[in-house]
Amino acid sequence: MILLFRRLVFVQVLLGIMSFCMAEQNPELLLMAGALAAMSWYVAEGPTGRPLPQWVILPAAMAAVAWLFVELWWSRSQVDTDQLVRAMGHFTIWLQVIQLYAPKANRDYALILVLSLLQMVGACVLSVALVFGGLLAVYCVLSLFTVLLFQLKLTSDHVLLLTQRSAPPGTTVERSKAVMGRGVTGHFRWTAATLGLVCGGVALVFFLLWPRSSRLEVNPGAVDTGMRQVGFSSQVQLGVATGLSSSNRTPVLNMQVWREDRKVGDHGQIWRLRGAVLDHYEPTTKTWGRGRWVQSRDVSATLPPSGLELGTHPAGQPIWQADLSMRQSSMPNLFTLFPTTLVQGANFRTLTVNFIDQQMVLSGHETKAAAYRTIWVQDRQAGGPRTANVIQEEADKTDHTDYARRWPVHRVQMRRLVEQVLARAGLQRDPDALSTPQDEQVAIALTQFLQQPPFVYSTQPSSLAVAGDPILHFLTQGRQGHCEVFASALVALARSAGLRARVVTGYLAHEYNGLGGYYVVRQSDAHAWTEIECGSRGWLTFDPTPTQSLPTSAQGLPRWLYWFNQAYEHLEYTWLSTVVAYDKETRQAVLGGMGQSFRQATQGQNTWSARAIGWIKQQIQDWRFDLPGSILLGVSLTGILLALATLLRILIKRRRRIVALQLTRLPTKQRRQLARRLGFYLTMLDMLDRHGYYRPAWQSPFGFAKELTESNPMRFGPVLTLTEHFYEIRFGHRDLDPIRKKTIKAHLSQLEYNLGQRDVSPQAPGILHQRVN
Amino acid sequence: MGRSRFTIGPGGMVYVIVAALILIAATYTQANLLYWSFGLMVGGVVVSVGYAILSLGSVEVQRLMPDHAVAGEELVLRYRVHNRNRWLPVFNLVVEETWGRSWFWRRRGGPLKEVPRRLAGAPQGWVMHLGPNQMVQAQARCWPLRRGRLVFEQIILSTAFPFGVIRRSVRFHQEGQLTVYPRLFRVNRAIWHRLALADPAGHLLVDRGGGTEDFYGLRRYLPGDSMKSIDWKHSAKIGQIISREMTQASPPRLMLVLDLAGAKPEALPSPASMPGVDAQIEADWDLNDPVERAISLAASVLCGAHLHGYQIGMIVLGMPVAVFRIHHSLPHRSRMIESLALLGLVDHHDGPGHLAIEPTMVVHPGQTSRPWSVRRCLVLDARFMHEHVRLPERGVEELLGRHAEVRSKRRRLMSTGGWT
Repeated sequence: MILLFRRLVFVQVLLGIMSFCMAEQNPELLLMAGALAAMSWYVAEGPTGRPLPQWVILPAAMAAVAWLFVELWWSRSQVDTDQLVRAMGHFTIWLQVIQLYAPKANRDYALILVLSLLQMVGACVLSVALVFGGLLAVYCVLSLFTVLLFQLKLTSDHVLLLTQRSAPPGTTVERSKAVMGRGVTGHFRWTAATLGLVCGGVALVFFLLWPRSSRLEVNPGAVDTGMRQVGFSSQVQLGVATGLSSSNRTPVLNMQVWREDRKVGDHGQIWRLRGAVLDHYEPTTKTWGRGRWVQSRDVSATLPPSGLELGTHPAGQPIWQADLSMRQSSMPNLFTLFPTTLVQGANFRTLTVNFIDQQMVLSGHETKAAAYRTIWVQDRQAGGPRTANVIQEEADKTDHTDYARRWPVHRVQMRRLVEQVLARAGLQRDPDALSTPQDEQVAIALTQFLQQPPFVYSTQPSSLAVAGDPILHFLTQGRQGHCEVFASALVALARSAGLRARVVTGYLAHEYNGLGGYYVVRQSDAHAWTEIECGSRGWLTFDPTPTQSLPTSAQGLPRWLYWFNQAYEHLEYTWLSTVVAYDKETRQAVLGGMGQSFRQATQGQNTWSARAIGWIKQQIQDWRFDLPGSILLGVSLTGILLALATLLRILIKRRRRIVALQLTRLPTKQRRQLARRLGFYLTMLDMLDRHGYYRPAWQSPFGFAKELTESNPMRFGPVLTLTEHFYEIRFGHRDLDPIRKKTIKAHLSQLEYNLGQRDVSPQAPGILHQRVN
Repeated sequence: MGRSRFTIGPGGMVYVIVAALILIAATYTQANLLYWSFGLMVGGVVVSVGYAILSLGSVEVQRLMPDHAVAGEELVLRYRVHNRNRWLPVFNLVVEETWGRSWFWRRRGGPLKEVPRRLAGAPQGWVMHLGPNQMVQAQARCWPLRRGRLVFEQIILSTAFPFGVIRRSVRFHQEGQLTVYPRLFRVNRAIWHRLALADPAGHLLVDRGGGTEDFYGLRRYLPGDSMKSIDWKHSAKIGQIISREMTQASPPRLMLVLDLAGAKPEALPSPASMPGVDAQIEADWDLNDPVERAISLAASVLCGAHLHGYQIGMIVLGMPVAVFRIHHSLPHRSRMIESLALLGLVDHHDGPGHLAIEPTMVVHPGQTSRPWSVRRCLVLDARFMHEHVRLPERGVEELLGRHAEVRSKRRRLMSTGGWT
C-alpha cells in the first residue's frame, strides 16, 4: 500500500509538471523539470536510493524562493494574471522537484500533493485546450486514488505513532500487518470508482448551476509571441508595423450549410462569411472604415418570426441556407454569406442593418451569443437575382454616385499602374464610366495580377513599415503582405480603374467536421477580401490573396489520419463549446431549456408523458364496469401485483441463497439446483444465529459443527448430522430424496427444540463465535 | 450500537481551505475548469458525508480479552469487527478504547478522555478493509504500567474515509476487566543457589513409600502392584510374594513471606477512597515505591520458583491476604500472583496473626516487622532489587525511577573483593 502510494505520488507530480508545461507551452521546462523529477525515483525512492540530506534540500528550496522573486522582478513591467500564474507555477514545480529528493514524512507528502494541486489550478488558468482537459481528467482520477491511499497511510501511521508513544521506553514497536477482509482490491476499486462517479455527478450539477458572470475571452493554446493575433476586426489598419500570428484557434462560430434541406459540407470547401464592409480609406491614418454616407443608411430593424427579408430570392434558384451559432457574446457583428436574402434570428429580435452593403450588427442591448439562419443566392447569373440591396442601391446611386468609387491617394501613379495591368491583359477602361460590359473581366485581370508573382503572401510587417502610403509601396516595391494588404491593393486598383470596390472582413469557413456535420470557424480563419461591382451582375466577390496562402484541403491526408483529425476536432469543439465556453448565457439557456422540457413534459399536449396520462384517463373513462366487474378487475390486478412481488422475492431469495452458500462460480443450472436442495443448511444457520451462534466466514461447516458439538453434544448433536447431509448433497452429488428430506426435517425440529431449552452446561471456551446481543 | 458523532479534523480544514482557494481563483478568472475542480471538491465533501452516514451503521465490535496481563509487558487486545451491511465495504476503520464520559468533547489530538494511569495511552487498532458481511479480527497493543485491575469501558469505531474530511465515530459501551500482574523480572541464579543452601530441609526425597526413586523397603504383595515391583529373590526365600517399595521424590519448597508489616501505614496500598471511582485509578504507584518493588520482587521470585519446580507458598504480613499453602501447580501460582496484583485493591480476609510455617524466603521493602534470621531463611531487600533480578538493559532508569540507587555487580565486586 505504501509503495503504491509513493508511486502514485511520483506519477501525479510528473503529470502535474507535464500538464503545466503543456499549458504554458514550455518544452524546455518540461524537459528539464521532467527529467529531474523522473531521476528522483532512482535517487531517493528506489531500492538502493537514499534521500538527499537536509543541508542540500534547504538551500535548494531557498533558491527556488529566490528564483520566484527574480522572475517576478524581471516581469514587473508586464505583470498580469498569466505572468503571476506562470511564476507561481515555476516555483511550485521546482519546490516539488526538490521535495521529491528530500526525506518525506506525511506532511511532506501532503505538501507535495497540495503543491501539485495548486499547479494544476494554475495550468487551468493558462490553458483550456482539449489535451490539457484530458490531462486534467487523468490527474483527477489519479488524485482520487492517491488521496484514498494517503488517507489509509495517515491513519495507519497515526495508530502506529500512538502505539509507539504508549510503549515503554526502549521498546521497538513495528508496524503491524494491515487487517483486511476478502476482496480488498476489488472493493477498493469499486469504492473509488463509485466515489469518483458521485464526485463527477456533483461537479456536473455544480458546474451547471453555479452562477457566474459573463465569460472572459478564452484563448486555447494561444502563445504570446509579441505579434498581433489574426482575428476579425471591423476596421483595417495598414500602418501597424507588427506581424501577424495565427496561433489563436479560439472557435468563433460554427456553421451548418444546407442546400434544399440537404446538408452540405466538405473539408476544404471555402465559404466567405462577411462581417464588416469597409468602403472608406483614410490616408492619414491608413485605415479602412465605413463612410459616413453608408453609416447614415443604417436602419434599426426588428426581426419578425419569419425573418428579415433583404432581397427577393430568384425563382428557380436553389435555396442555400446556413445555420450559424456564434460562440462569443462579445462580438456584435453578424456574419452572413453574400448576397443574403433572408435572416432569421433564433435568440435575438433587433439588429442594425444596412441595405447597401448588407452589414448587420446586433443592437447594443443584445449581448448574447447570436444564433441565426441566413439564406443567400449561391450561383448568380448575369441579370438573374434582384436583391433588395441592389434595388435600394440603385435608388441611392442618384444621390451618391461616388460610393466606393474614388481612390484618394497617388491617383496618377495608381492610374498608370492600372493601365499597364489592363494593357497586359488586353483590356482598357474609362475611369469615369459608371459601368461597362467588361467590368468583370477588368476585375478578374486585376485580381490575377495580384495573385501572381512577384506578389507574395507574408505576415511580416516589413512591407507596411513605410513612411508613405503602404498600398502604393506594396504595389510598386514591397510586393509582400497579408490578406488585408492584398484586399486594399485590389480595391485601390479597381477604384483607379473606375469600378466600385470595397474591402470586406470576415472569416473563411473551411474546416468541416464530418462527425459533427458543421464547419468550425476560428479566430485564425479571419480574412479580408474584396467586393467589386460588375455592371448588371452587381457586387461580386474577388479574393486577391494568393491561393497558396488560403487553407488547403485535408483530403490528402491518409484516411485514418483524416478521421482521427476529424474526431479530434469534433471532440475539441464539443469540449470548448460545452465546458470551456460555458458562461452566464449558456447557463441561462441550459436552465431555461431544462425548465421548458420539464414544463412540456408535465403540461404539454404532445409529449409522451402527457399522452400516456391522457391515455390512462381516457381508458378509465371508457371502462365503465359495474361493481362485480370492478371487484374482479381489482382482484385480478392485485393478484398480478402479488404474483410479481412473489416472483421478485423468490428471485432475490434464491440469489441470496446462492451467495450465502458460495455457489456463484458454478454453472447456472447446478447452482440453482443446489440452492434449492441446500436450503435446509441456511435454515439451520439462521436458527443458530437467532440463538447467538454465528459461523464466521473463515470457518468451514464441518469445523463449525464440530466446535458446537464438542461444546455440548446433547444440544448440538443435530448440527453435526445436518452438516453431514450438507456435505453429501453439496459435494457428494446425492439427491434430496423423500427419506433424506424427512430425516433433515426431523433433525431441524430436534435442533429447534434443543435450542429452545435452557443451556445448563458450562460454556466451552472454544466457542468464540457466540454473538453478544 | 452507541451514539455516533461527526467531526471535522485538520485534514478536513485543509480540504476546505484548498477548496476555498480554488473557488476564489475560479471566481476571479471565470475559468470553467476551475469551476469543475471546485465542483469535484464539493463532490468530495458530499461523498464524505454520505459515506460517513452509511459506513458505520451496520458495524459491530466485540472485545476479546486475555484473562491477565503483566505490567510492563505487551498486552494485545483483540476485537472482532463485523460488518453486517450487505453492500458497503468499510475502509480505514480505527478501533479505540476510551474511558469516561468526556468522549464527546474532542480535542485536536483526539477525545478528551481519562486514560487510566495503568496505561500510557489508549489502545488503538486499525482495520484497513472490512468487506460487506465480513468479519475480521483487529488488535490493539498496549503496555500496562502498573499492577491491578484494568477496566475497559467503551470502544470507539471511527473512520475518516474517503478523504479525511469528516470523521464518523460510533461508541459501543462494553465493559470488561483483566488483572494486571506485577512487573515480573528474571531472578538471578545466585538467588536460587542461595535458596538451595538455605533450605532447612535439604532433602529431595520424602521418607515415604509409593514413589519410584530409591529403595525404601519390602512389604507383602497387594493386588494392583506392578509385576516389576515384585522382589523375586525374597519371595522365593519366604515363600510368598513380596513387593519392593520405593521412596517418593520431593521437589524443593519455597515458603515466601512478603513482609509489609514494617512499612509505614501511609506507604501501604489502600482501597479507593473516592466513591464511584474504580480502585484502579487510585493505584498510582510505580517502582519508585519500595512496597511496589517488594511486591514485584515477590511475584518474580514466585514465578521463577514455579518454573524451577519448587512447591511454593506465600504469606503476606501487614496486609489482609490469605495464606497460600505450599503446593505446586499453575493455578496455584496464578492465584498467588493475582493476589499480589490486587494487593490493597480488594478486600481479603484477615491475614495470619502468627507464622505457622517456617519461611524459606522473606521479601521486605526495607523495613521489617521482626528480625529475620539470615541463617534460617533468605532475606531479600527490595531496595536493592537490581541485585536480585535481571533488569532490562535499556530503560533501567525509567523503570526504577531517576533516584534509584543503581549499583552494578562490577562495582560491588571491586569494593568487596568478591561475592557476598
